[in-house]
Amino acid sequence: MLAEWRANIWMAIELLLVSVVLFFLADNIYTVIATLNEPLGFNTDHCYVLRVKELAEVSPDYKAYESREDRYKDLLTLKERILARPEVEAATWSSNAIPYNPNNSTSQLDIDTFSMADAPMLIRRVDPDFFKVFKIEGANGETAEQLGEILLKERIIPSDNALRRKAGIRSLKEMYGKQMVLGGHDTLTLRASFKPMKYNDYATVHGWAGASMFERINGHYLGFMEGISVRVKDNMDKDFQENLMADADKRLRVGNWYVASVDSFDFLKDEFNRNSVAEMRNVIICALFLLVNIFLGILGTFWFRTQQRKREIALRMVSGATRSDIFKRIVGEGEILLLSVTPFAIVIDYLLTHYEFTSWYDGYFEPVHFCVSVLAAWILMALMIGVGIYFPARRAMSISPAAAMKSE
Amino acid sequence: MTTMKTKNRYFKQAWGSLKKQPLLSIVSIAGTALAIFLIMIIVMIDEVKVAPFAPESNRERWLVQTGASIGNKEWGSTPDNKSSNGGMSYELIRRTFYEMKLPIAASAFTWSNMESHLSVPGKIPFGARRKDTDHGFWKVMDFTFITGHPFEEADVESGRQVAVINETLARKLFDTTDCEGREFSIDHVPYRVCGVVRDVSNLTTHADADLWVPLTSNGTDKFTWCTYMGSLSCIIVAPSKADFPAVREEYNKVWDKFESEAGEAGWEFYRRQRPYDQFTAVNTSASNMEPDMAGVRRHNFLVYAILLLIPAINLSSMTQSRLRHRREEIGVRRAFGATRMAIMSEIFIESLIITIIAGLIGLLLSIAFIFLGGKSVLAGGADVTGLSLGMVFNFRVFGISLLFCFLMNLISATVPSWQASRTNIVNSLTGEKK
Repeated sequence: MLAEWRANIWMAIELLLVSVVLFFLADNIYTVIATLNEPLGFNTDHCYVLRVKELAEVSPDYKAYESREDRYKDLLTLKERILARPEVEAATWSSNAIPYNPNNSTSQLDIDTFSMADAPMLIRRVDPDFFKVFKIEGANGETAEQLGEILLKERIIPSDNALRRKAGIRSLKEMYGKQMVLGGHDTLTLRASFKPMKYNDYATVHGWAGASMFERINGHYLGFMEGISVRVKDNMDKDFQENLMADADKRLRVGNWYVASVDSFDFLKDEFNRNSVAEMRNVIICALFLLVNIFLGILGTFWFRTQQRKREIALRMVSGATRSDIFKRIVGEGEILLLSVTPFAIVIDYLLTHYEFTSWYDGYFEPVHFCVSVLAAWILMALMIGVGIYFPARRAMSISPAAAMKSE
Repeated sequence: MTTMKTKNRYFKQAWGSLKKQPLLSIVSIAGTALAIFLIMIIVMIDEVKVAPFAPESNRERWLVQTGASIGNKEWGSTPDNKSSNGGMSYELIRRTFYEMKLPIAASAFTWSNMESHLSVPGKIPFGARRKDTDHGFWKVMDFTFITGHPFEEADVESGRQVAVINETLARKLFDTTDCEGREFSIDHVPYRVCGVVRDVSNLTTHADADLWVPLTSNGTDKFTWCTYMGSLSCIIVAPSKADFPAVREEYNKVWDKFESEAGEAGWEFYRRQRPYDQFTAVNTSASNMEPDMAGVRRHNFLVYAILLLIPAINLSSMTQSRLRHRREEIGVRRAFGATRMAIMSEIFIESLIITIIAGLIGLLLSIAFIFLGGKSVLAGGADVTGLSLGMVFNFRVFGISLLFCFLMNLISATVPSWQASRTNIVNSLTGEKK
């Protein structure tokens, strides 16, 4: 092995570079898989959003309300009528709150002694039935109904990971009973937290939009309403949208309020995830491409290397080495080469992580994430080298030693 | 004549030696072809967002401002903190963009489409995506009218209830596209169809909707928040890309004047390098951030570099193995009087052949990929009406990748062959490296 030191150094440098790239790929793929495996934190099966709107002044049917209360009362009547439909299990009205919607509101929520002035959080304004519609659960196992009651009383419920990014606190459970300050002025009490809601299927709950809070909605947000969302009973999805729209102009108009259209959350989900899907697909295509290429390269290199050693292999066989001896020897050489670059590779991997070139997942350096990526890269390299040596070596050994030596 | 013959001979020799080692030649070609294929696909994925195609035919010469950033002295606003970011009001657009003289067209329109309630007697009402625009929209965008015509300045000024609808919607409402003048109701307000246009791809994000109505016909022009903000975006079209500096200069002048007037009530605007060209616009998703184009370019460069370098490193180490194999051959030929030049030229031509074959395969692969349902792959499942391969195909990038692969093939072949042709002929003959 030492006899070939010059060629081996080149080979080592190549292995080093390739293993760093493999680490980089493994790191990215780890992030994708880990993100996809996080629980969504909500459920939109059998859910629909009714786009409820108000007539414009130009409409012949426009009615001028005397007070906001009247306007609000009409909306609540509409919600009651929707809830009264036999297919509907639960209904809620909200502002910038439903899953898969691109509009966000943010606000500052200080919890206990942690000031969040530089880390505003998503705020979802909802009525207490929101939890039932989207099956959101409390961190302590509170049911949707219990969360609704707490929201009515306490006005704000933050997600359990509200302090995770800012202060590294994984759960708020220990802090129940402490004070919270909303928007720098309203003092409230922390009574419960909910299991984090993902922003979309491809965004981790550890990201900026992974922490959020619910605020009890009120009449001030009538103009910013995104609609009334409903959960339909399990076996009653069929023709729900058509039937509802058929009734929209007859039964579902109250005052200025009307139902403009109905979207299923399956549709909203596809639309909203589209860019993320495309992005993830690109990452995976590039990763696969590089893997194939690296495999071809390593296979090719070791193939030729081993072929060139036909004569040596033949000589060893003549001098009495068994096939498995030779295998062990030349595969071992490849793996020793790999082992010798591994420490350097790990240092470079660490530097890449340290200087934030790798993918972000709950921080750049996270021990499990790092170790899994390093290990995955190493195993892949070892496998490729093994395959790249095994086949040509077997071929070299299958011909008789005399023939091999003559062929040279 | 002689040189032609010599060149021919080089080609034959190079081809011969490629054929002699089919496995290696195939692997080299496959590696290079894959690299070119992937780079072309990635570039095309990006190109879809910036290449001009109808109705956004003016993408190359327009400047986009989807929103503005406002603050107030009383809030203690700074560009990074306590600013409000979002759509603009019609008033603001009138006092800034409409005041500009250089642009050949300007349009105010709602950036996100509104879900609207549509109905005609005898049919179940349904929802459709509505965009509120001014008359300039039809000059900025390049729609194909099947019947009728766009709404005009007079319609916008008087807030007339007229609508342009797309052909799918026309069929859904009236079972025909020949429906100019027919009435239907949008959000319980009666409207009349003034034109029907061909459907467009939802990749043309600024133009796409199911129906377009004057922004004055439903009160969108009067909607405001923070005095100057609203729900509108604006696009201005410069005579050509070369006029961007002049247009920006005029933009800054107009905004300086406007801002000083608004500043009297404490309002401040943060321009964040607006308005954006199409490339900047698609890479700046949030209106509360400065565009980071250097970062985007760095990222793209890194991706291309990795995609080209890894195959290159692999190829070169394989070529090296191969040439070590050929040391003996080179030795023999040198012994029989071949000049170093002759051997080097052959290696040069060999690399050229590999690169050209690989380039062609990569090119054909990428084109085949796009044709075989790849179009929607490009656009992440979006529909691709009106998009053709020619629009997203980038010859410059193809040329650059090809050149790069050629250089890598060449370098990886030249260095060892140079060494081989230099070494003592006897050593070369024994195949030993010394």
